[in-house]
Amino acid sequence: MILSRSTISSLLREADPERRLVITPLLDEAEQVGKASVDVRLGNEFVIVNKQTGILGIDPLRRTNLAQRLMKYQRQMKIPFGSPFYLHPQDFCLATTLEYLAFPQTLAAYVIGRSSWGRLGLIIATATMIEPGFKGTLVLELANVGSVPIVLYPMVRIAQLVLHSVGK
Amino acid sequence: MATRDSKAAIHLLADKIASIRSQAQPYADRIKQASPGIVKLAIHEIRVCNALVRYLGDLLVGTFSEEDLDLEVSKIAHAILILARTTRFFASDDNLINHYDSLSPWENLVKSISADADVIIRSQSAYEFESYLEIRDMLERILPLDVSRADVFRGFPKHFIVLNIPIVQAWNVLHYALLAHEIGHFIYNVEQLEQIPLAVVPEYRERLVEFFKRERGTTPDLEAFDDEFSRFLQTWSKVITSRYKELMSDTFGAYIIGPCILFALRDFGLPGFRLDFAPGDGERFLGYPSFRKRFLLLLQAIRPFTEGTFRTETADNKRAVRRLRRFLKTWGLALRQPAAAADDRYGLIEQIVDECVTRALTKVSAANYPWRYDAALYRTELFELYNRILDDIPPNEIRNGQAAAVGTPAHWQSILNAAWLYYLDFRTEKFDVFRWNDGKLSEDTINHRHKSLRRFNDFVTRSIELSIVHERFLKDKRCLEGILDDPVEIDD
Repeated sequence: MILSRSTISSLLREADPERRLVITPLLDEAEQVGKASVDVRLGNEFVIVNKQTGILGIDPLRRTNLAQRLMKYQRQMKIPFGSPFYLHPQDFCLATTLEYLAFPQTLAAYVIGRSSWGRLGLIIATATMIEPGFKGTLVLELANVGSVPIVLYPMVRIAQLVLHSVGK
Repeated sequence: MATRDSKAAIHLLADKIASIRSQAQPYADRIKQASPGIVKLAIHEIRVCNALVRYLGDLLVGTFSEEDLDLEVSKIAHAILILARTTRFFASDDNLINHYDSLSPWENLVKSISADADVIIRSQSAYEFESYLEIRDMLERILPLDVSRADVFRGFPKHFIVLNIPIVQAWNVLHYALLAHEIGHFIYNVEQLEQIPLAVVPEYRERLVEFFKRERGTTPDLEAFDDEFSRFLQTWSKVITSRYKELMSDTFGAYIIGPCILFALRDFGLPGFRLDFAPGDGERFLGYPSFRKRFLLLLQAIRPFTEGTFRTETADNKRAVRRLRRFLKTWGLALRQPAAAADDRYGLIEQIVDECVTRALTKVSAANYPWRYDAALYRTELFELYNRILDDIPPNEIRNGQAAAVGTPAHWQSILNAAWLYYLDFRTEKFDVFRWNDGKLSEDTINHRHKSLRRFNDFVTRSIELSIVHERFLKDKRCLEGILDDPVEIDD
């Protein structure tokens, strides 16, 4: 069952830490908690893909030195709050959410993009499921499928969570 | 009169300066990404270039003898060399600290101590600071009178705090503790506490005369100006001031971040560590107080934090509070030592240092410092944040009662202290990477612990960042206008 605004609000206020839904910092509850979803914001850490890697391809089945090869392929960067991040056409990057999430065992969620970004050509996430008991920040896979660069700023509302209760 | 050749030489120089200026600009932009403190230095460089270009313009329209003109040109050429060296320094990314965001609370803190101050966070501070001083000295000599030094330095901060941080160091709470001590040196200067030993040392003059007699076999002639005795006094004053300065900087560090300042004395208990230095330690012995003294003074400075009741002192936390108090008490007892014998030279130094510290503390305890971390705040926030860490939730905010879904941002000092408490509790099992060279731990264990520690430090640093972002958001949501809006909807 998809959770409604009132259920989400009461879960955010749950006294029992085992059953509480943690989304921190939830900067603006009124704005971020919708009728059946919660908006999450973009963090300031990105992993971008290098254009010239010198590697032939990534074969996930060849595990030897996979981490080192991925390091050649990807580069971490941090954007100061208030500064822009340009995602160029056909570029792909990993980003995190600003919010840290802690899910109780009774909840799961899907991460979906927001239509306002989708219309600009920004695909938000491909691995979208959040399992019960998840703790951490979400990793978003951002891709610009449009034909002009998209400017992103840390703290923008980038995606939304649709929360579901999990049966026993 | 300036000849055509001289004018050509000046044109050539002006071109060189313009080229250096254009080279400096991209560095300034890059540095702007890193820290406002550093930007100012870059902007300063560009201003100096501008001043030189203006001066060259004046030369072109002025009348000079050939000799004077050559002299001016050679001075400017010298200045260009120094500027070029400094701009090259800016070009190296390795010299910029890369986790500046986590250090941003220092900017505000330093501003609250002195509005004219600015923080430069660099890993090679000594080099940078020296080159700045060199430029300044050169400018004093080369700038013509009609371009005043004040003009060139307008907008430049009155004080620089240059913090030398080892980039490889991953211990974040430790970083903050070390920085608090270094900022303590700055407060010591701002408060002009160096005056105290100047008043205290002469009060011990008779005792000092005794020591002088014992060491040199002669009595100083105090009526006439005695050079040797004055040098003797100077040496004593230097040793006393240096030790006293370190102690006061520790104290201010404790005022800034509270009990986790104890982390700064991280060498404690490691092989080769000594509580008390001996005269054989040379400079270290003369210039620094003993770790015993530093620890005892810190314990005294943080006492207000652990007295009184903690807000969330539940059954579990009561045990943690007891453990914390016992920890501090045990260290206090273990470190206590008998009063130094005043008939020994070093005992007398200790006595005078103690007197200086007592007077300084009386002076500073009356002052209401806005930057001081409130002990009541510590007791209010500590355990809620600590409990969040135990639950694997970042300690970035305080929920005022269960009814609130949105908490208030925690103070960065409280976050550090909660992390320190967690570290104390879990050190042996998770984070103890100090004892690797005992040979008792396998490489795998050490690697695993390093990884846990790094992950924990990231967690703490991120929590501090989140609390800062949250606070900015609450203070001025409008400043984020545009960023927080949705993208413009496309009309159907």
